[in-house]
Amino acid sequence: MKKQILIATGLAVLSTSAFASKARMEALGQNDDRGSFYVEDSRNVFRNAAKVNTHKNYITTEWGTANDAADSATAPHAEGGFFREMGSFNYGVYLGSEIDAQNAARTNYQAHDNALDLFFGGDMGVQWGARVHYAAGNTENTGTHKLEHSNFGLGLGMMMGDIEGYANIILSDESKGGAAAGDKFEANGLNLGLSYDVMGMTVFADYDADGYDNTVSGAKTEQSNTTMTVGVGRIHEVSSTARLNMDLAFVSSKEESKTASATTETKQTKLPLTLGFEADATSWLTLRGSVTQNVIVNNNEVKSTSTNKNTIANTTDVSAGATLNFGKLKVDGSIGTTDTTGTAGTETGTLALDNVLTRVGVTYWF
Amino acid sequence: MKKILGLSAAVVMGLTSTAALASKARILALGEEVEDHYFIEDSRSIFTNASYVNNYANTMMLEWGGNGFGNSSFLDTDSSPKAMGGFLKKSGNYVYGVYLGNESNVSTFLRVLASPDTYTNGYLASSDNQTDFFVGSETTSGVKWGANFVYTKDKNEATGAANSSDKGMAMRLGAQKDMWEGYANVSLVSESERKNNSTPTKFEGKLGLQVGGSYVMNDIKMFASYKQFDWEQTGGNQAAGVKTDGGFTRYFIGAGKTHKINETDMVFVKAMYNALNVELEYASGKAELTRRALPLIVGYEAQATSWLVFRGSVSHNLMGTAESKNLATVVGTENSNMSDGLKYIALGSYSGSPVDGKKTITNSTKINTGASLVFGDLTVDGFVGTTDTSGSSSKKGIFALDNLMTRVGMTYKF
Repeated sequence: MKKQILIATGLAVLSTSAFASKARMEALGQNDDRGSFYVEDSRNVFRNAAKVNTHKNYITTEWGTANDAADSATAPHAEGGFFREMGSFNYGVYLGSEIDAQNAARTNYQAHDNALDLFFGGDMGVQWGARVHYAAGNTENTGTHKLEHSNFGLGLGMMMGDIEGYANIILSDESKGGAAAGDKFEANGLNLGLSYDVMGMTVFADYDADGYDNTVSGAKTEQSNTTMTVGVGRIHEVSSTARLNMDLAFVSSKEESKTASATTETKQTKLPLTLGFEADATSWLTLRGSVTQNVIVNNNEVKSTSTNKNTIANTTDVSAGATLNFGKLKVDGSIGTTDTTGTAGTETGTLALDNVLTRVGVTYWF
Repeated sequence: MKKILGLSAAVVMGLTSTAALASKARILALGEEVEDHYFIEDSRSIFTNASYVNNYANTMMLEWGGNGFGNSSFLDTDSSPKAMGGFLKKSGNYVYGVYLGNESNVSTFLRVLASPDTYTNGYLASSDNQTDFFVGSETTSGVKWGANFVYTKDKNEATGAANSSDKGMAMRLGAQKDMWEGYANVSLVSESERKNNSTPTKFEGKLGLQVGGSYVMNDIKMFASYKQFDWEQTGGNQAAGVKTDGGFTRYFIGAGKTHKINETDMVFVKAMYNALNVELEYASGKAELTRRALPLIVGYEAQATSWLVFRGSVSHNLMGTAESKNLATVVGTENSNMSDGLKYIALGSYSGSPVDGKKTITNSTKINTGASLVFGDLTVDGFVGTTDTSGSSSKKGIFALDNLMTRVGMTYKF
């Protein structure tokens, strides 16, 4: 009897943790780059490096374009890696993660590209993990100045009982040489957070700040983005193969763009409510979906030469996804993201079999 | 004994299976409308009679889509459905729930009518980010009751540019027991304003009321409903400051019969007298649309395989007329081109025309078809046969596997 319970528990944990992709996080209404505050997924290793001890022995690939453009649902970025257990330690290598890369703002600079993330963690009563992020590149064309970029970041995390904490820091991120040799782009980033499991719920708080200083021909542009999130999330296990997720979070954010002549400031406060589910439809198919919307609190204020105050329009978003299960191999993807003519990102409520999965991620567990 | 238990279980499963089929695509395929449907029971019934929350406890519902069709005013259409969804949960003797994004098409329609003609400058804002709160229970005498509070508020205040704001609140109350049901839905606040432009425009709801009910006698369900909404609009396509009263009235009287073939399959027939009147009291004269129709609708829903449910309906007006009077004043410079705006399209959806006169409603024979992929407690519903060979939204009698379903909804029973 005990053995049966243990096996059942093991299967439940396995079925939950065996999913791992940006598509899954989006379908459940969660953050697709650093992962969720409370839904288990291997993407969470980018939020809390100690998760390297939770999700191990797998290779994951996110299908997409090999470029340095910002990753999005309609233009996903190719990336992937593997995570492995080694005695009482766990390690991983991930290629191509460009979280907070700021490439859209690095016009004329060497892009943040070819990123490498190395993970290492262990369990000594307290589960701990560390992530080192490194990216570098340069262009030396004959007859023109050198473009170069280097980035070095660090992620640290711990999990002890019901408490989790993490820090993700960009220690240095610099592009030298843009349109002119003296141009310089310096980016920064700091992400701190804590969570605590209480009464079947996860209470979480997260502070995220990033930005850059861009000096072009001696003129400096400063950008800073700060977001504070405090919320509560809950997973309701309906069965070993089905679960509901729900969260409510207060999000306060501020973006400031400053040039020598003008400052633009955008402040938002909102209270997004997310309701989602994930269930095994058949032995080979898992379906999931979510709806999210800002409720009660939904404010946006933009200050520049004039001031605009508004509520954020059309925040109701429904996302859906599926996983094709082939034993240890899982093919995740978003569904319903194209219209009847196949145009990406239009979301017109169409289940199109010729584009049955988009933003595909494939994971092999070994 | 085992057989009896097995049969009971099958019946229960059949009921569970039916209850799990719940989406806009389903009721549309069965000849109903997204709003104000009365005959086919579905989880969407909670938006007409809130007591239906008791029949759909422990359900999560998602409707795939985007922002809808339009610009500043958004309509939920078959080709551009709005994303929405929510859940209902049983707790003790009560059922509660939250539903996100279920903005009313009728509400948007009225705001469109009250807007200036210059579509590119923006219509009055329609309701956005709407939240519906539900609670319901069953009394010891077996009466199920439910209440639904609707809340929506949004604004856009830009210095030196047109400002818009919209807010709405409503309360829906409903009850039902065995053979009867009744409901009363009241609009508490419905306002939309656009100012700081050349023609400030305001829509102020006055009386908003919907009452109705049904009674089942000899397996025939008789139903009736009355809906009235009055408003005052300022500006719009009239000069700045000019006030115009508007009114929307709609009532149904109908009857239908459902014949259950077995635990999973059913056919139905219904007919209803459907009357609609929209009027705007312009200073230059009243603009009015009067529509009368008596549609006959025949439909079926059948479990094709253990994992597939098919449904469809044909509807046809036994009698149908639409009388348009002075609607050219409402439509203004807009025409059938979508890029010109929604007024012509919105009035056209109720058979209105800028050409004065009374006419028979043409081409009233309509076929709608839908399917559900059933995965135990999880169901994926959708329209089928809604695209042509090139994938465009157009009914050409094509079953296209590349666009297997449109207007998709997902329902999970937990």
